[in-house]
Amino acid sequence: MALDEIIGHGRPLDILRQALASGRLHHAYLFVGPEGVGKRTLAIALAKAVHCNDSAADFCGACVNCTRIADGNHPDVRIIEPLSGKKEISIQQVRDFERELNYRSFSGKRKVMIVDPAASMNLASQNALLKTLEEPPQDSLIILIAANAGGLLPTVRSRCLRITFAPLARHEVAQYLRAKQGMSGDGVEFLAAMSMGSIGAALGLDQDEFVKKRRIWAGMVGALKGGDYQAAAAAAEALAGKRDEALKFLAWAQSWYRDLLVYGVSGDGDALVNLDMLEQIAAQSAPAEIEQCIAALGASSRAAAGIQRNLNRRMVLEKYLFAVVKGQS
Amino acid sequence: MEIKAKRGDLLATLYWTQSIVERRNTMPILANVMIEAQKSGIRVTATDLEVGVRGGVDGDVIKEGSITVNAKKLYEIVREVPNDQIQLKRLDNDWVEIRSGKSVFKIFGMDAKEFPQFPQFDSSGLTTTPASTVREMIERTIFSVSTDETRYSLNGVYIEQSEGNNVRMVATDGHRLAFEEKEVGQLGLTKGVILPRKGLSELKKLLDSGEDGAVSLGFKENMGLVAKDKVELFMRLIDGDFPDYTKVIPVGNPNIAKLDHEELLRALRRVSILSSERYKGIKMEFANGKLSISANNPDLGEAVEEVDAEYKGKTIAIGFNARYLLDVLAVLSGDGEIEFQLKDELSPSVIRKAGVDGYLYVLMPMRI
Repeated sequence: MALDEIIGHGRPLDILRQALASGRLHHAYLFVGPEGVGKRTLAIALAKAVHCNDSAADFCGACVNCTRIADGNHPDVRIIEPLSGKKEISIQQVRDFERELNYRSFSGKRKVMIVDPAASMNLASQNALLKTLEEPPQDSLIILIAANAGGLLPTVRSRCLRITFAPLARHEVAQYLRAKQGMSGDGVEFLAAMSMGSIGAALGLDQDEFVKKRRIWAGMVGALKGGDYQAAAAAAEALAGKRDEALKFLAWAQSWYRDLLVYGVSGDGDALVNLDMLEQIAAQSAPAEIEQCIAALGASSRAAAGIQRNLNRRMVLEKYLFAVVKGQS
Repeated sequence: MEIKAKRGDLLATLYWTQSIVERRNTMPILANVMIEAQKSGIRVTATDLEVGVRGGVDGDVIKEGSITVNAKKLYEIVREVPNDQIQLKRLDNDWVEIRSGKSVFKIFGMDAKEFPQFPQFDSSGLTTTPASTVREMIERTIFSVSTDETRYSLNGVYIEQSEGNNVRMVATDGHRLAFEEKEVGQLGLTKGVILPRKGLSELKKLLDSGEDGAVSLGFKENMGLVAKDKVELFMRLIDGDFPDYTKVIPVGNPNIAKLDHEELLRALRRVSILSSERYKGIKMEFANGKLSISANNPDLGEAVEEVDAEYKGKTIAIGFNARYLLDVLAVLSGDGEIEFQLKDELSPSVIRKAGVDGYLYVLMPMRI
């Protein structure tokens, strides 16, 4: 194993490689990017590269230090997450790891603390961390991992070097699924496309179940006629039942409008996420409706954010579907 | 790995290790003790990353090797087994079989490679000194260590090499400072280091146990080591700069008062009963030939007591925290004279004891 074997993320890797090679690692990094693209994998890889016995500015994955880090048993590498059964990282956890940082490092190399997900630190915890971020003890390296920087205090954000992770390309996800998960066949391309660039999402997807649901959703969205608010309200009610379900629907709706948009502009069937639904997309997509698609895309992501913030699901979905219906009339 | 040992020997060493093993368990392997069997002997190691203990066990090594197993369970098993002889054997897949008499236990362990490695100290880098000296120095400083978790560099006792074979230990919490210099030996320190409170209190436990004998001390850049009898104690050093304490110690305070230790201690105890719970403020008025100690608490009332003192300077009325005075009088136990070196009401005072030359205590006054 080595940094080269990490899939995608050319830019973040370049930045970190340079910092490693010149011995100028920053004291605190903020890794921002969608869930499941490999932020934590890269954070752990960086910890290994700092501590690896065998390779300089890279890691081997086989030496004592690399295996200790992989097993969570390295004295200088710690991952801070919410305790089991808890949703938040408590201020006590933050204080504990600050205390550990104030000891001299065990190995003589850097002490690495990975906070994942950083947004699960509550306000008090984030404030407690501020002082350490501003004046870190010697030889410390703090890595905060977040899906978006919005959940972090501006004071925390400004004290870290931000590295942004983009979604992986479809072929990169497919390559991972083939190489690391031993998958094969048509399913791989489909999963890779549907994952929207997140390996985590690709692995979490129940393919058959998802295909079935998607067909229902596509039928539902396709059936929405301009001005038919009654149908839209009924659809919203059906979708609002479960939070997960509603979020999955909205994520898919984003991919759907994205496809309509992409196909409308380029006419390229290969760039689609919903690869197997080319016909429907071709039928619904028309160059004249580009603005509508953009509006619907924005509305889906706003609706998803609303549900994540625990707004009333039915009202959010109604508002969203009404907007779609209105746009089509 | 396969070893045979006497139950009592193993238990004595495990006792030390299991008191260290971490309860919070941030790293799975820290719940375990490492057992190493080599030609040179059997060693048991435990750590919570702040403090580590390594103890030797007398016994027969049948096959060399190492393994880690759950510390608490191993201790309980060894404590309860019926027979005096006990046999430990590493099986496949990191399991460990413990046999004693008719009992057989199999518990699963973890590979010893994953266990944190403590540095090796060769005896040439260590200084040997009487245990009583080290214990006394710790006792007389550790009570002044700060409990403020945000000021890490004050959360331990600073130790540095002074002239010749003298070693200094200093602790402060910003209100008071305890300083002691004694002949210990060459520690091999080029720069002072900070020993954490937790490590020192474990060390004190170790020094309190068993016979008074000699201890060996040594330092590596990130660790301190103390060895006594068959037990080695590692302490991780605190990263940080200790404040320049020499600037804090006042020199040439002109007004000197001498008081009987025992008399002062008793008077302070009595008067402090009526001082406020939180700040324990008392007023000490030094005047010609006497000291009057008083406490005034609006909720309770007041107390005054006069103590004879050898004092010729100007009259000074100064406020102190009684707790801080009682602390230092407690560690300077024994008959003798206590000396106060004062300047004025708002300057730090120095407290020393006749016959204890290397020790001094700086105390900030309170406004009352």
